[in-house]
Formats: sequence, structure tokens, C-alpha cells
Amino acid sequence: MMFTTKNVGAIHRSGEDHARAVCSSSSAPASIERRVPLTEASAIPERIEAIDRGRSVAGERIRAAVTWLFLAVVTVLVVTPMAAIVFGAFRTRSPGDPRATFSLQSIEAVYLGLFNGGWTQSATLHTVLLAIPVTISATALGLFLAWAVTRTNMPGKRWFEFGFLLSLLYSPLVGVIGWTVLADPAAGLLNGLWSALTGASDPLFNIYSYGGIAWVMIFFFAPYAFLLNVGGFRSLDVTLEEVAAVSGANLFKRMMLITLPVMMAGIAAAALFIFTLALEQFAIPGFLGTHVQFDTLAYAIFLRTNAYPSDLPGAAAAGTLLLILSSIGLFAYRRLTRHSERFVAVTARGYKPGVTELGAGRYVLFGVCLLIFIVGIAAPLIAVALRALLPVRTMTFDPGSLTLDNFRVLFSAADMLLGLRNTFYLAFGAATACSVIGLVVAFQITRRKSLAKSILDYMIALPIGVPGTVFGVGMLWAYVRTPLYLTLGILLLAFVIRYLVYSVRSIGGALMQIDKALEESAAVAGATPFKSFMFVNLPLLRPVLASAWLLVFLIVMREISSSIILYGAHTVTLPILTWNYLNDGSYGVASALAITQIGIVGVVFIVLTRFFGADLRARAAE
Amino acid sequence: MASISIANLRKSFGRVEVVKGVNLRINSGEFVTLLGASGSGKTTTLRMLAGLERADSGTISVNGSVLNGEGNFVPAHKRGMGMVFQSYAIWPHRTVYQNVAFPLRMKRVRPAEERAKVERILELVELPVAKFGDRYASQLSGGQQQRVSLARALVADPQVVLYDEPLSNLDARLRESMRTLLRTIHKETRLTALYVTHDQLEAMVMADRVCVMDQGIIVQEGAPRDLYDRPANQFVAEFIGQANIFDLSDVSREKGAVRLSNGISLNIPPGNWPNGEATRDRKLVIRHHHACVLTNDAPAGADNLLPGRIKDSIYLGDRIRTTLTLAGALEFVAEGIDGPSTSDIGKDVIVAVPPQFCIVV
Repeated sequence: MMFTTKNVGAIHRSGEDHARAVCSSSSAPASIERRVPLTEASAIPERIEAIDRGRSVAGERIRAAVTWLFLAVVTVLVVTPMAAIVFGAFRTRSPGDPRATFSLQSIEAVYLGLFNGGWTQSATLHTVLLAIPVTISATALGLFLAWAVTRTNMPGKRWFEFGFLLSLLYSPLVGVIGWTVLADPAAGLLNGLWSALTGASDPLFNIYSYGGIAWVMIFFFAPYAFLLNVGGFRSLDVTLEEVAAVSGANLFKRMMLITLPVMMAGIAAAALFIFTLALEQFAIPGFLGTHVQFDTLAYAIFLRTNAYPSDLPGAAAAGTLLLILSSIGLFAYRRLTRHSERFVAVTARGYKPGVTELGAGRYVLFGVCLLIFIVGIAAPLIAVALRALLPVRTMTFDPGSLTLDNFRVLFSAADMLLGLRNTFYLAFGAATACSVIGLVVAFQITRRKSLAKSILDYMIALPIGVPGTVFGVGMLWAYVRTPLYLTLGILLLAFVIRYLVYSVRSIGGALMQIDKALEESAAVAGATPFKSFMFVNLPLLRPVLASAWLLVFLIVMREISSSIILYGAHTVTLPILTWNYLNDGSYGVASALAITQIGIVGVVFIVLTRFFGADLRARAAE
Repeated sequence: MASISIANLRKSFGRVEVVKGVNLRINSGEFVTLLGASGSGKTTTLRMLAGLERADSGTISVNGSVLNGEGNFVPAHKRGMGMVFQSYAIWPHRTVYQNVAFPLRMKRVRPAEERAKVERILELVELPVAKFGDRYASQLSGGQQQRVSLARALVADPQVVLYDEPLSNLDARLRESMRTLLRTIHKETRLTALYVTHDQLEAMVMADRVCVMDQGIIVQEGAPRDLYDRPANQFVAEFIGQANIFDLSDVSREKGAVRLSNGISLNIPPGNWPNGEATRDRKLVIRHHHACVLTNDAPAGADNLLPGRIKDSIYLGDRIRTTLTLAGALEFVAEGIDGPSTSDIGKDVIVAVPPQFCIVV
């Protein structure tokens, strides 16, 4: 987190106390330095607390009631879509259809289909074949970049750090469009360049393939692994590595035997995050895979909700299957991180910047990182920007043909303004709601523990493991007969339920870092709890609040997995418009839209990081 | 066993030169401490010896082979040393046994031999493998973690053992027992060791030889007693032990006397003068416990008597600290097992400083 060293010190101190408490059963004397004389002074806070307690017994009850109320609301909201999806899987027809009855037909089609060549067989196989290698490759790539940027003397580290975070600003569709422009077998720029150079008639790349889909996904997800591990590498106690070096381990052995195992909790969390994203990702395999009949579960679910007549029971049943796959991921994560205490350096103090001095190797590393940046981020981005300025698909590039026509078409479309407005409402609304509710919940959870709070904590985290497509189908089943259906409200609700956990976790993490003595000294100085919150906690939390807000804003701005299931004619969003343009073959307009969206997000990103101290890297790997 | 030779070692971080030409020889089996305040360059010197930092210039050689310098740099993992860190640096994902066995694994020692060595060394640091072998760092106290760290540093029979403030994270009582343990181990094994600390007591207890570092250079080295009795300059005098330091207005080596700024003249025996001729900026050093506050009249014929008034008297249990004001508003601190009490504050007294305890630096 990005607090001052003072707070970090506080953490270390409390960590140390904790370590002592844990060890008090061993032979060491539990606490020698802490012989605090029992003077008048040390009794004062207790007395104040006693007065406080006397005054606020009623307040305490109200607070407990509020917690339970919160828990009830959150539970209903979180459980409803999940329950609805199971319910839906056992129905024969769409919700609201009077002819609908209970039956196993959809469940059978989905699960027996796995073995007898049903529609789920190839989709499930493809989903797994894609998700596992993509998760492993993207995590490894992100880790490598995080290491290069934080722990070596590679030139241009800061620029790379900024550069790799760029891709958080855009939707997966940018990768889709960019790579279509670059590597379409018939009209890709790279293929054009290749045949011009060699005279070969066969294309060099074909993005419409398993490899192509995996490629785009790996580069789209790698920045998450980068983001989630940069902090881990930075805060790793380097003496753990140094002592391994002195003990005779070379750089490779240190990495494999010490650094990566110690960071396993963070790495596994990043991998799980990416695995879930890969499962729910329908845009990349959906668009690039249709040409070659490469279907995935998420895309197949989308098709079932989108086709006419729609097959919502089938979508729900397939949703349960996808849910099982993501649960397997969660289970693997839990196995890997069973012993959390073994992944943190419990006594580490006095962190030093641990930079591995690479001799000439640093230039090699620079070259590798530059290549990754160009291939993974710059090339597709430039291709999209280029395509936005070109009227037609072309294999050659002629500066004279650049035009703003695509933007003109885009901004004269009625949908565009609607989509812009909707997306803005949703992103601002969800980010603000998540931050405010997140602040309240984080306060509840981090302070005195109770059963209700533990359950609340668990409930909020539940949607993490639910792929967006599945969540969308669940929301659809749950709310299709309510007035909420086909409004922005259902989208907002879906986003808040799905992303509340991010703000709760980052704000909660920061709250735990704030030394309780800061509040207590404010209380002793005469501040009411409200005032001490306003003057002590809020200013300290500001950068975290800004980060949490920005994170949810960024995610919602590009969200497509849930919204594609839930949107209606009046609730289109920018990513959905992009998707629709793309599927209509309007690549130029889709590109112009993608660029416009990057522009909007970029401005918000700069404002929040510049003026509000937001820092996405600060988000702990949860 | 190995002898170490460090010549003209320099290191800068950015624009700040942290180590400014350190020269140091450590004989085989010798235990040397580097003593200094934080920022003195002592830890950087140690880290260069370990191979964790690369020297900007100068050479480090062990047993005559150059590890750093002359275009050579042997990385840390090829130096065959052992090191104990202030933060213990116990790998949290490995058990005590696995932590200690690590250097042996890196040397590809046979499993049976590994087992025997780990057991023996854990016995030595009083963490029997049967009880502690399978524990993780989170199940150990700070003192136990530091013992594991020590065992890990010693297990592979290193040529040299390096200690980077190993005791400063421990509380007072644990520190003392660890100090005793370290002393015993080194008396037995006679391993060549370099020990970095900012704690003068630790340096004096542990070391055959103490090197005091200040601002990137070694300002004085010698046996603990030499440093205490004959500090080479004001820094050493103040860093090791406590002393009154006075500016001198007149220094005359021929007459064997100096004059304080308040005009009082003191006799200095011939052995208590510094080497070198320069007479400017000399200081007079008098240890607190070398001065005696006389509440009665001074004995006849006594040398070096300073009249003063008692400003404060503090009872410290094993001694009494008296603060006095001398003529010319000079402040003087004297300590003794006996001395004036608080009821004597304000009284005029005489402070006697035997000439053999007056040292000019």
C-alpha cells in the first residue's frame, strides 16, 4: 500500500507483537522490552474507553443490527443470481413462460453432452485448452516483466512500468481489432509486409486460430499478473535472496527456490484471477474463433441467450458447468496457499531496494522487454489507431488515405451518444457505489470481529470466482420478470455486486495499516468518532479510495462479459457497441470507437493518478 | 580458515560515496568487528566482502586470490562464505531443517552427510533437530530464528563468516545469551569472522580487534582496551565509552601541560600525547569515571584539580553521575561508585583528575 514508512513501521511493530504472541509458548520470554510501568498515564485511555462504553451500549446494539442488516442485503444480492442459475438449469423454458416446467433436459444436454458429443463437449475442451495455457503463460510473462521492472538495473524501468499498465485502459476488443488488422490471413498488415518482402503467397500469421486466440489473450492478461506482482517483488525482503546467494545459490536457483516460492500466495492469486478472466472471456475467442468453429463455453452461453429463440435454460445449465470449472481453479488456489504464514517474511525489517546488477545483460533484458511491449501493447494499439483513420481494409499503408470519416460516422450514430452516456453513468455509478459501500463495509470488517462480519467478508468475496458470463445469466434469470430488467439498474447492480470486493479489500488493507493509536490520540485530544474519522482516517485513505474508485471505473468502462447478456436496446454500452460494429464488419468505426474509449479512460486515469494519488499497483493481490 | 585482505576499497551509491578507501587485514581465525554509526559505511564494506555489492575500486582478496578488483568479480554464490543478517532472513516456506541444509544442498553434499552436519550444527545452537527441525519460521521466536540463521551460516564450513548486526533485533536479555553463544562458538571453531555492529559493548565483548569506522574510513583499529584507553580522536573517544571533551587554548608538549579555555592548566604525562606534531585543534579527553569529586579538601600536592559547583546528581544504582559547572561555564561529568547526593547540589567542590587519565587527542 502506499502509505508512509511510519505506517509500515506500525505494521512491522504489530507483526512483531503478533509473532511474539504466536511464539509465547516457546522457550523465549514473551515480551521483555514491553515492561510498561502501570502509571496514571497508561490508565487514562482505559478510563476513556470505559466512559465511551457506558455511553454507547445502545449505539453498540444499533451497530450490530446494522451489520446484520448489511449482511442480509448482501447475501440476498449475491446469492440470488447464483441460485437463479441453478434454478434455471432445471427449467424447460425461459423465465415467465407459462409452459415452463422442471426437467433435467438442459442439465442432461450439458453434462451428458460432454461425453456423447453434445454442444458442450468441444466448447468445454476448448475452454480448458485455452484457459490453462493462457493462465500459465500470462502469469509467467507478467511475473517476468514485474521482476525486470522492480528488481534489475534494466534501463528505462519506469517507462516500462507505465507502458505495461497501459493495456488496463482498454477492452479486450482492442486486441481483437488490432490483431485482426495486423494478422488477418488475407488482409493483415504483417502478412502484406511478409509477402512484399519475400514474395511468398502464404500468409505468415493467421490470427483466426487457436494459437492466435491464445496469443491475444496472453498479452491481454499478462498486465494483470504484472500489476498484481509488482508490489510483491517490491516488498519482498531481499535479505532472503541475499542469504541464498551467500549460501551458494546462483540467480536461477534463488529465483526458483526462494523468490517464487515465497511469493507464491501473490502469484497464485494472480493466476486465479487470470484463470477466471480466461474462463469468462468471450469476446476474444468469440470473435476470432467463429471463423474456425473454435467455440468456448462463455461464447456458447452468450449465443444461447442471444439467438432467437433463446435457450435460457441451456445457458443456465452451461453456466453451472463453467462455474464448476472456475471452482476447480479456486480449489487449486486454496491448495497452493494453504499455509499463508509460509509465504510472508514474518520478521523482515529494514527493506532495502534489492536490485540485481546485470552487466551487459541489462541491455539484453531491455531488448526483450521492449519487444514484449511492442508486440503485446504498442503494435495492436497502433494498428487500431491506424484502422480508425483508414476508410477501408488495406494491406498496404498510404498516408494520403488517412481520414476522420470513421469518427464522423461514429459520432453521427444515435447509439453512440446513448452508449457513451450509459457507459459513463454505469462506470461513475458503480465506482462511486463500490467506494462508498466498500468504505463502510471495510470499516465494519476490520474492526472488532464478529460472526456476522466474517460471513459478510466471505459473501462479498463470493462473486470473484463467478465468470462474468455466468453472473450475467444468473442476473437475467433472477431479474427478468422485475422492472429492473433491461434498465441500467440491472447492469449497475451486477457491477456493484461483482466488484464490491475489490474496493472492500483495498480499503480494508489500508485501514489495517493505519495505526489504531492515530485514532486513539484523536479521541484523547477530544475528537468524536466521526471527527476522528474525518480528520485522521479519511485523509490517510484518500489515495486508496481514489485507487479503488479508479479500478472499478476502469473495469466497468470495458466490461462486456456480463453486460452482453444483460443489455437492451436502451442500455447499450461502449464495449457492446464496439462488439456490434465489429460483428457487422465495420472495423473502421469499431476502431474509432475503441480509440475514443481509450481517450476517455485515459483522461480519467490521468486525473485520478495525478490529482488524487490513485495507484493501481497498490492494490494488494487478493 | 582464511585470511582476508582489503585494500583501498571504495563504493558510491549515486553521488554519495559511502566507503572512501578502506584498508583492512584480517588474519586467519581472527574475529574482527567493524564498529560505527549508521551511515558510516560498515555494512557496505561487509556486503562488498560478501559479494552482495561490487566495489567501485580497490581490491578484496581471500587467501591471496582476488575476489573483487583487478577486473575480477566473484559473485556471492561462489565465495563460500556464511552470513548472518540483522533480519534473520529465515525462508518462511522452508522448515528449520531445510533452511539450515540449504548451503549443503548447494554444495551437493551427500544426504547422509547433510543430515549429520545439520544435526550437529543445530545441536550447537541449542535447537535440537528432533524438536525444531520441522518447524517453520512463523513458529519460532526472534531469538530462535537468529539461531537458525547462525546455524545456516556455519553449517557448510565457510571460509569466512560475516555478521551484519546480528543481535540488534533481539531484546536485551536474548542479546546477551546470543553474544555468549557466538563467543563460545568462535573460541571453539576459530573461524575467520567480520562482525558489523553499532553497539560498542557488543564490539568489545566479541572481538579480537575492533575497527572504528566513520564517514567511510576506518579511523582507528586495535584491541578493545587500546581503543578505550587511547582513543585516536574525539569521534572514537565519544563513540566508545563516555567522555568529557574539552577544547584547548594552549598546548605545550615540552612543558607537558595544556590549558583549558577557562585558563586552568593541566599536566599531561608524556605517554598521553598523540603522535604527530600538529598542535591546533587538539582536544582533551577525560572519561567520566576517571574523575573524582572531592567533597572535602583536596589532598596536598595533588595534580590536576578543577574547582566547580555541583549542578546535578543522579543515582544510577551501580554508580552516581555528577554534573558540575566549572569556571568559564564549562560542563563536566564525573561518575563513581560513590559521590555527592542531591542535597549537595549547589555546593562548591573540587574535581580531581589524575594526570594518567588525561589524554590529548
